[in-house]
Amino acid sequence: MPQNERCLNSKILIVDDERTQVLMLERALTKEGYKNIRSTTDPREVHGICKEFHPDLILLDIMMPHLNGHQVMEQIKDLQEGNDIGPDTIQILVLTARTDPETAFLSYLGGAKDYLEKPFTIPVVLLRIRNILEAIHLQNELRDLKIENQRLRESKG
Amino acid sequence: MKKLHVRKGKEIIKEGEESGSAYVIEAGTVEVSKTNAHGKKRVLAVLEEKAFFGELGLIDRLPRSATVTALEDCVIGEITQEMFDTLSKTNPKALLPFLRIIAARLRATIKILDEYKHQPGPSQQ
Repeated sequence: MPQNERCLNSKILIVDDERTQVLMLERALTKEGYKNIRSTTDPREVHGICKEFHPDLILLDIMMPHLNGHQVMEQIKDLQEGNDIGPDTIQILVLTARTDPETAFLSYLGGAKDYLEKPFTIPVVLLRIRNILEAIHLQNELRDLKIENQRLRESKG
Repeated sequence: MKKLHVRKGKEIIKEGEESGSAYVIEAGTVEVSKTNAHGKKRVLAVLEEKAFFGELGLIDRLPRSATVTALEDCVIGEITQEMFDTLSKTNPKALLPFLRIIAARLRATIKILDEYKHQPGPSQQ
């Protein structure tokens, strides 16, 4: 499958308590051609959605009621470490109105791949999403090639 | 991140001790202080939720420059040297906000020095 199609088939989960933000991202992603989009305004649902939907990428807000973004990231880490969904299979792009460096650093420590402050423009967020997805697919391709290479070596030897 | 539950009055890091981890306050407040050659304590800052301390140790691993004491029961997140080193290698972008934290701390230190410089000396009092 070509790289572009693989990116557009990636599963993306939007998590933000502000409905308008969710709608804006859904609309932009759909217009761009992304086909597998899920969303929630309740961070408590993320755990269950991850187990069932297995997203490749989560667009995650930080300041939310019930569970903040850092707590959501801890849950995702537990899921991945517990082998419920496999290690390092979910990438996270934090989208937040917080501009303090502490929140940014804690987000990266919690496992975020990238961090973008609100308000952001649609082209910028689409570019960041694209970069992450391309990196995921290239890593997967590299892993598969390594396995294939190993298999060929073993069959020859 | 490992969470430490610290009782009020407990010293989380001590001036002069070997450094390793940095910390982030998840709940509670702490006091940052230094003791001079005459044993007199000077409070440098009171830090609240989300503030970092001990971050210099992650970079230079030199002895702690100040003592940090819990002013109430606190929950503290520990950022170990290993976590920091791994993050630096796997996602160097994370170092930019870390540098901004250090820069803010440096600016605050310069401000304290400026205030100290403009205080009247003993001969002027």
